[in-house]
Amino acid sequence: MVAAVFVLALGVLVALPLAPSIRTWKRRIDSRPLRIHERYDHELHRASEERSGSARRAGLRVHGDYRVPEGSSVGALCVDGSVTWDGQAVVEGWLDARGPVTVGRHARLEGSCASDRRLFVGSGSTFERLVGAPVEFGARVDEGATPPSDATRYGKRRFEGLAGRPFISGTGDRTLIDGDLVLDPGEVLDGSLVVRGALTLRSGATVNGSVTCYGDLTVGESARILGAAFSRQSVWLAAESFVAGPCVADRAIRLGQSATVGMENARSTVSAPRIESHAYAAVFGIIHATESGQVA
Amino acid sequence: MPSLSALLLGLSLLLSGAGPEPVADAGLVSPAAEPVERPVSPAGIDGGSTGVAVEVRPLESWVRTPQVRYPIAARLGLYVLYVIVLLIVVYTVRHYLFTYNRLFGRQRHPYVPIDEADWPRLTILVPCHNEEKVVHHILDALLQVDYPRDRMLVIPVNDRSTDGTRAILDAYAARYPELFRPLHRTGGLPGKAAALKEAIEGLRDDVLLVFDADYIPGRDLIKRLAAPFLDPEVGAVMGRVVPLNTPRNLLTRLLDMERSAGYQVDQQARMNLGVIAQYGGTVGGVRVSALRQVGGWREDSLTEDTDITLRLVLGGWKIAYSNRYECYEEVPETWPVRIRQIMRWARGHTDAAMRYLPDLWRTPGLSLRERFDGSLLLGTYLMSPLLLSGWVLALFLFYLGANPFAGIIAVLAVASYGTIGNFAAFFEIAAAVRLDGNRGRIALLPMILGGFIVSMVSTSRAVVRQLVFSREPLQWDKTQRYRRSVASDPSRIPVREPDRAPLAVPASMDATAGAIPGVVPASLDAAEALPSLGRNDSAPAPAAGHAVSKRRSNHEPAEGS
Repeated sequence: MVAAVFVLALGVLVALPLAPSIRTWKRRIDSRPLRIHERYDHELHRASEERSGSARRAGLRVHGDYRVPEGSSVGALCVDGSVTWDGQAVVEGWLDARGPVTVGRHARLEGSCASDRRLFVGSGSTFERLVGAPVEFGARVDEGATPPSDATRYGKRRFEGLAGRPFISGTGDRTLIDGDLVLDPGEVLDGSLVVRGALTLRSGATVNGSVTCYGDLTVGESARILGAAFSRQSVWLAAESFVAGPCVADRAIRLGQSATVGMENARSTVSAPRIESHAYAAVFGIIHATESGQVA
Repeated sequence: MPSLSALLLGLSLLLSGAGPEPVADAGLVSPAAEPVERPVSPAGIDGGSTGVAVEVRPLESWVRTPQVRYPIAARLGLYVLYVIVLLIVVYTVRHYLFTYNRLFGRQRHPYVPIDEADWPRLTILVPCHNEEKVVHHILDALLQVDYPRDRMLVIPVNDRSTDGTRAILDAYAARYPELFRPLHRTGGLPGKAAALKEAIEGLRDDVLLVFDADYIPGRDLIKRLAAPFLDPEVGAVMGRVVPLNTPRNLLTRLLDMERSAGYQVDQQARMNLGVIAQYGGTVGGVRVSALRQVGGWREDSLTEDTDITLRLVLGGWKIAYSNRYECYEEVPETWPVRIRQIMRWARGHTDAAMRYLPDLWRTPGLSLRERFDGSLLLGTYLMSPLLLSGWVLALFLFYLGANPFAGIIAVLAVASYGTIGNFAAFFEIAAAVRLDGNRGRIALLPMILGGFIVSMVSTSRAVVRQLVFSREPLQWDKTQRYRRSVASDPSRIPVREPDRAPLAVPASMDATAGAIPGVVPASLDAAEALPSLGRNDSAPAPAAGHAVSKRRSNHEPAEGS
């Protein structure tokens, strides 16, 4: 008798969680397929989707050029011509212009600001995502930034420079390095590098390929990476340095004075949680700070 | 499952009304073991109302079992049980670690923001074997993707189809010869791996993407999958698969939850923690130079994805994963199909484990956490027969009297049901469903137990078969498709828009305008069930991109919620 009661009680206990299950099963609560599109729009908006919706969603639509008074703010702005914002601009949603955009000092650009042409952001500004060809920062410049003219003309030295380094293997056009690596001034390497430590390119050093490193990536003055640059820590681009492809870091990126990412005919992406940009730095393409972007 | 065995054990104890009796000295004892007198309560024996003698022992003797002599078989069985329990605990900790990482840890999506780049040339392979019901959907979807048109080529690999697949592929190739170049196989080994191997011969492109024929890639998926290949360390990329036929029946809904846990939690956590994310063979791709370096696809592999994952990792490459790269698939709608599918996975996985487990510990350049988690990854399917063995063993040992925990087993059994084994996996699934924002589904969670038992038995059968008959040739078993077939009428092939023009989605592919004919099971409301595959906007597309109105921290876990 006791055993029967016990078994019965146990059966009830086991069955109890199944009651809502059966209800959910039969009533088909929340049974649709997961809606996979537009799920990450807040962080992944694509160009055509944004632009196609511009006219419909713009808070302000301007045909022609537009000059915005200092200190004013907009939620969403779509302009067919150029935009000039004298200073202390505030964009709370997005700005989309087909002509050049000039934003003065101490602007606060939340969301996305895009131009089909040059986008200039003055010093002391904060930003989240900027798109332009190019995006330029800091002190006002009249000439558009240009990548080094000799960007594709470098000598070929296929990993000889790595002799004596903590070398793992060189397969195909890629070399694995276990530990930190420093490329001496003027040193040129042909091929991609995977460095399981920190990587430093001293002034004038060049990698004819892409690099990825687990530690900090430091690109010295006038050093060049003719491919993409990835770091699991931070990337420091010194003055006059150049990265041809995307530049991505897990923590932070600092663009030194006149550092350049991307080229006019090969646009690129700069992305990190925190980005700090100095005067005359330029990015051809997109610069995206997921946590904070600042112009020094 | 082990918790189930513990529960049964506890039940046995409670129903029998006594703890296990140590075996009498049978002569097979350890020399060190001395017979110990069983402690007796000073109060003596209490017969109770049932008349059954119940031994009353001091509390410390329940916690600390006195040394007794067991038969050698029982002792060996006990050690085996200890090992099994240890493995269960290790997997449990792993489940918890992954789930906590997804809920509270830093999330790594380093390649997702890359929207502008010098994109690599890529080839998209679509293996097809009797896919007339589904193949036109993926070809239609590939016509709409936003990847630079001069840098992609689609090769549908028709592996000896006997239905209308060939005619459909030829119709698309005739309409878009610059984009579709079907490969019709008539000989060689059957199966996906063999088809892929043949398809990549002479390939010159940088990157190879693979989609099964029942998948429906979104408009920007190709670009997202290509972005990680800009990193020279990445040898393969994996995206997330999302069941499209979820509402079909209970099985599809349970599989949807399982898939959620596998991708939303497991795979993303592996990416976050820097251990081995798994290339899943579809909604993903491989760098061609890496593939060649490790010897290409193995024709005799049932799970070419696991196989290539391990070889790439051993070759010094990384697998990139992001749950932002999402794509629809069909999941099995009947249990026999599901069982065959999981048995094929189990056999292929076990085969890979036998081949690569030793190399995982011998190959230089891998971190300890990669070796450790990689071993656990390879051992996933091996755990099913081990759990079953543990279950049976625990019961046998109990009745042999070899249980070391004596009376506290009842307490342990009840407690462990909630902590060891099942609960960790359930916790993971619940977390995944929450992250997906489908909170209503959590009520179905207890029913997953039934699916687990079916999977465990099927997997055990497959693993044992693979271990015992490892020389038996692997036989490919194609997963059944459920969509309705449509005629391969060339006139219904959608128009492909030129580069940088408005990427309008044909009305037939836009959920707001109607459903894809035949995609959604007839019993469903198609317009509700099928999410949009793209936009139907007609404004001109710009050269520049936009984004981000809400700033998010990398620590923020609440996706979709």
